[in-house]
Amino acid sequence: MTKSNNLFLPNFSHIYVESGAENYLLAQQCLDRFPKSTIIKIPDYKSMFNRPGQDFQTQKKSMKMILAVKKPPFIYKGTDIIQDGGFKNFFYITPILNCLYNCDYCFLQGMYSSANMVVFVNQNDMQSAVELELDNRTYPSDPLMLSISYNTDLMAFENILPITRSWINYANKAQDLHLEVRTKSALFDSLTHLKPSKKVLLAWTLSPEKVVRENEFNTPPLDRRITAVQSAIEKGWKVRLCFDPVMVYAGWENDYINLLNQVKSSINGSKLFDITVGVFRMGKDYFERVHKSKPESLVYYQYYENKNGVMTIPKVEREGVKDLMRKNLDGFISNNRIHFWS
Amino acid sequence: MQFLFLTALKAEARPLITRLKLQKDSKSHLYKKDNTFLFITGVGKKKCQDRLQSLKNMDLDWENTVLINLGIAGGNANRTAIGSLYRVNKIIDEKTGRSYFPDILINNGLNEIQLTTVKNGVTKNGNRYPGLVDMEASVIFDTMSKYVPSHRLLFLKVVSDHMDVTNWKFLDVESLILGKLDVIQLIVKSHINIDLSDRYILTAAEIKFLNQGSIKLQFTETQSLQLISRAEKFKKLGKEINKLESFFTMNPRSKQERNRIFDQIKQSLST
Repeated sequence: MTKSNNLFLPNFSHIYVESGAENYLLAQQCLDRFPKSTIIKIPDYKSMFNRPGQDFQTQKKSMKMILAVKKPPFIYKGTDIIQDGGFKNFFYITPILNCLYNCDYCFLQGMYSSANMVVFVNQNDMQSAVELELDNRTYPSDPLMLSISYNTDLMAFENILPITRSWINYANKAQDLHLEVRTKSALFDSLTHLKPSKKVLLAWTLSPEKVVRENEFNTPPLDRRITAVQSAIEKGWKVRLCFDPVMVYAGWENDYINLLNQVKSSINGSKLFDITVGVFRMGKDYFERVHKSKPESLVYYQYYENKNGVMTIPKVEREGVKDLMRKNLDGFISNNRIHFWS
Repeated sequence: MQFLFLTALKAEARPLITRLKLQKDSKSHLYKKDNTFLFITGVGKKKCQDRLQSLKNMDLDWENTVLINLGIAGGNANRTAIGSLYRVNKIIDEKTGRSYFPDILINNGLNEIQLTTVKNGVTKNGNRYPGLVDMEASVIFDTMSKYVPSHRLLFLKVVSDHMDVTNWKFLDVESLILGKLDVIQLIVKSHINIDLSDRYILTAAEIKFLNQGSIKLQFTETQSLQLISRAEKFKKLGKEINKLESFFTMNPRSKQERNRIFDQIKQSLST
């Protein structure tokens, strides 16, 4: 069990097991991993996860795990808020709902009423759905890019359950399937025994130390993420850097210039697959739900504009971010390999 | 933080009333002293549900209340010991089949168990129930979780019998509760934690100030709500809302004038 505040029980002190989920190998691996946890049987994961009267941020202090069998749909088409990085057939799956980390700008707290983590134990069903989508994809001459770490940070979970490596092994066998594994984790070591795959894009989100400290709670510090990026490149993995979201606050420019200088001095830009840059953005409904919960974070009390149902910083600030990032990435990586959300 | 005990029986309540010197309010039937309250719900789902209706209307600070359902329960003979105290982690309503889950966040070392809420007392074949059995918990969860979040709902049960009792009068309910009162008080203490309260931005005095201003300026309900929301944002960014005082001395003589003042306040709170 992972450590949390003394008064609070450690994360995963309780594991809720949906009826039928216990028969899956992944469920057994999980229960073996936490032998001291209290096991509670539940009829359906939603009866626990979607209860009324939950407080996301309070639950974050002692997260529980829910093991469940996912029902269709198993695969989702990418949305406008996620950057597709130029891939025409862009999809995502949800092997896990919720995250070990607690980034205050994250949409998950607006998407779910619970902070508890749901692990879907029937990953095979998701793989079957991916196969179907591969056969029927809209652009057959292009590969299918699958984000496996959209509603969670899957690599951060790798020491608990080896789901990332299982998907990488699967992608290596499936024709025309590419994976994006987005992470803030420094747990790249958990994948080092795997042969680097050209079909897998490991995407690290990098932020200035101030943002890591003040907005990305429980995440590894910047230097450890950079070390993980260096190792991955060195081993021959395809790596994407994500400066997303670039947070705008008094003095953000200097912090991000320093971040980019640190990145440029420690990473060889020519060896990167690409870079994505984005700003804070969240669907209006999610934003309002988070705002209503009166979060501690100042993020939800700034001025935003509603851009087609997405709350984001004003255009002039978005342009400012784009200009600063473009200028400071100039010469590090070719312009056509930088993708902006704006 | 304040604590509201709910018991079904007076006998379950008496040790708490005595130890904590709780005084009964004859009008509301609520026992109280300082930050501790106690309410007797009566036995059975129907009676409990009826009495909880009156509780809901009482002027309790629900945003800071930990609700504790304390009582005796029948226990599975193979899994429970008479006189033991358990924290309930799952409640099943036998009639509806619905399950309820209080959040278990605080570390207090209690043994945990599931509980089934039944319509009538069980006096034989008790081992068909996997844990405990009572007659109110599901209704308490269902009704009170609309007021108190699931991390401030505690269900504490002392096993009184193994569902083989022929005459309930022979149960010494008071002694059973009394025997666990020290532990119960420690559990209460472990819940004195600001992290468990609802988060708020404006103080009660600030909300009162804004509400009085809204009344004075004859704001609509929507305008009043918007005023609170904007004032929260304003305060969160480190600014003082008492700068609105000058607006609250105004006397609008028409709806147009009221709306103009409201726009001025909005402008003032956005700078």
